[in-house]
Amino acid sequence: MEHINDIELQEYVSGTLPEAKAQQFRRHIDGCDACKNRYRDTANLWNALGQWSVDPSGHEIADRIEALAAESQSNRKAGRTKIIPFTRSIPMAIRVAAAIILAIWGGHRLGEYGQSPSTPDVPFSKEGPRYVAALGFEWSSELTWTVLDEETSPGEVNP
Amino acid sequence: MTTNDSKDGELMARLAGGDMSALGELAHRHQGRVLELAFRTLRSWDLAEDVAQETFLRLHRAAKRYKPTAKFTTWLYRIVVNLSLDAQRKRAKAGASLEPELYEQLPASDPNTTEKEEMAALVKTAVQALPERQRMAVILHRYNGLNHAEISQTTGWSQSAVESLLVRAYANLRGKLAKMKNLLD
Repeated sequence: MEHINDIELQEYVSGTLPEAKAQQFRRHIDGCDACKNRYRDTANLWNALGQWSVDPSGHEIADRIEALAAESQSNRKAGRTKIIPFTRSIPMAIRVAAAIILAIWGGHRLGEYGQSPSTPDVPFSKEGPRYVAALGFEWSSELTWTVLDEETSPGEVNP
Repeated sequence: MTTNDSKDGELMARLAGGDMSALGELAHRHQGRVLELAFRTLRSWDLAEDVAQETFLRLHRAAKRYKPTAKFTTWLYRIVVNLSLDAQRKRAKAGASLEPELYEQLPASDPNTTEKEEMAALVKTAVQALPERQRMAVILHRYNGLNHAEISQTTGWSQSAVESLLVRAYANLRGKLAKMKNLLD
């Protein structure tokens, strides 16, 4: 048998090898000085590491978990339901569909007031194109800068 | 499957069916090992308690999806490992030192401490000074009794990566312990 490698030696020392394999290693170690020394080193380190013990008493959380669980159970029995925010209760597909419909409707309304000759008269000024007024917005200097580039001539804006 | 595993599987089935008392039983059965694993990783009882509590709450949330194909503890440790590593990274981001200087942590030599206590302090210091992945592999192997394959399942690292981490970690520990013992003697 070849020498035992470090990985196998770790498994052997930790006692996690299947019994048949462990027996095979035991026989090899008995007859091989090099592996016997490496085994001794590995076992010493394993035992030394075992000196670090941790005592979790005083930090138990099971009672807390049990209390939370009991509370949740009694809430369920009492028929109390969790309050879910309104928007979360609407499925995502419906939310997306609603957003698309709103966008199309908004675009349609803008187009209607921007192009249709049958648009009802609404008060406007040269500074405030009528589709802005028709949408119920107040004209502002910021809007002026936004719209200014799109205005071809004063005549088109104010026929 | 061992008797313990089948008992855990039974408790998980009860929990999935809405029996919340099963969660309390699972917590009583496993809190010790969960707390130990989180504490050895995070070195803070406050953080370890938070991680342990969150672990059992996640167990509750995942109960319906649980399939007893692997050992229950492997699955449980996977949750603890992920939460502990997340907590460790959050703490690192917040600026707390994770890799304190090895020799700053050496226990002060005290004539009243026994050789065993001194050794325990040295071991703790040496393990804590290992790089994150090596430390986790050693903790799961030496202190939680997982074999290489189980560590691989728990951490999601390949088995060859786990084996190479363990070989390096134990070599590091051997070197560190020898050095520290020489400094103290």
